[in-house]
Amino acid sequence: MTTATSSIGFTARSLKAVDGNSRVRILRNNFWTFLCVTLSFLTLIPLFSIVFLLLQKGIPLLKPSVFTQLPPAPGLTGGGFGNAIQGTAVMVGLALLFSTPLGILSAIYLNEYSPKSRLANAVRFVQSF
Amino acid sequence: MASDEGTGSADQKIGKTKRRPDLFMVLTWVASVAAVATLLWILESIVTPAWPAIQQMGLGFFTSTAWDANRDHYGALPFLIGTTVSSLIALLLALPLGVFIALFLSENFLPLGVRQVIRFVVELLAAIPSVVYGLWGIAVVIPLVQQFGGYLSDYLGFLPLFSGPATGNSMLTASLVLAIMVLPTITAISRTALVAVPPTLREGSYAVGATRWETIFRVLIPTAAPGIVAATILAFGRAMGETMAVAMLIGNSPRLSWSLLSPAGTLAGLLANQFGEAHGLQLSALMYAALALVVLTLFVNMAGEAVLRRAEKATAGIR
Repeated sequence: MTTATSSIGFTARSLKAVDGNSRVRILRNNFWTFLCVTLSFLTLIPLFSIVFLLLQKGIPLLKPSVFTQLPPAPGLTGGGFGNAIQGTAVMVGLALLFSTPLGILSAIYLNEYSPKSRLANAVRFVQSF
Repeated sequence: MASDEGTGSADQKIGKTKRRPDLFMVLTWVASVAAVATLLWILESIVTPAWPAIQQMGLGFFTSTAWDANRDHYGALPFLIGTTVSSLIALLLALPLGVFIALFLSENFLPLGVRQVIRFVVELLAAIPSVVYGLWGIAVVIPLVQQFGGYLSDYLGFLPLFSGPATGNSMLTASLVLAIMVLPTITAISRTALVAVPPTLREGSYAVGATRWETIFRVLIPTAAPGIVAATILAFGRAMGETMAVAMLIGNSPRLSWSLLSPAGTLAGLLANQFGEAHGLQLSALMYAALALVVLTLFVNMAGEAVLRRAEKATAGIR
């Protein structure tokens, strides 16, 4: 897409050379460009804020034992959340173990055997659910 | 089921060897049936426990405002309204922002590298777990809402929407975080719709002398409108089903209030909070609420998918 304008907007020099109506249109154009670019960069804020918060609170407590040891008894310090890490890994692993073969087989049925059957439509509906 | 009969000689060749049923096909068929059966099973396991509540309260469940476990009286209206309103406010905030970002990503305002950084960041927002959004909301958004909500209720408190006191766990907090959570959905689908606008339309608009934003507002956005509408509906569905972050931030109050600064509740948050210790009719009422939530999100998602399919067809004909 090639345009007569520069990629950001019209330059000040080109503004002097045009009549009033065009000047308003050009200024309006530049206003929207400014708004659009500014808003797009604003979305960086939540992500940076989240990452900053996690690092700020997490880094001081970060040591290898956090990932391997069990939570401490009430009132004690130290320990970690190794149980949660292991639990997450086992749970995700088992879920994949069950769902991967079923999912692939079902996809093969949908694409290879009968893409237009009522069952195939039902499966697609369930997927979107 | 498909028949794999060939013609002519191939058919006769198969006829000579003994034909076995295609076991692999049976296997894939069983897997497909299992997918459908699982959904039916889930629905059945919601409806069965919900049945006593459905019989006892009927549709009055959705118009009653009292959720009182001590008197065994349950009404879901505050939560139904909380779910709808929090999602609508989130959309109100996220839709303009999302469309502007989609425009930024599909236009050439800045070099491709910069745009890809923004695109990457927006997609990262979709990858953050819900509970982390909740933690971030507690640590960052709640103090902000308390402070600025205080000003709002001080100066605009005469409006019911901003009447105080400003609590941190409020409708506004939940909606703000929801808006950020649905932003990636709106941006990604809108961007796809905008990129799919045929270049000839843009070239034609420039050729008759339109500026870039005249082209965007009068050619690109109208052409991509079905896709943007679909993005909005799908984001609405996501916001309604969102549980963890909202349950952590909205305050889970069963009371109705006009003020955005006071606590509210959502159906999903209600389930997450009360399910553990519920029994008897309360459990049944919760299942009824779950059924309502499922039907609501299903309906919205189906509408979104339908609009999206039509959107893809709409621009397909233009070359």
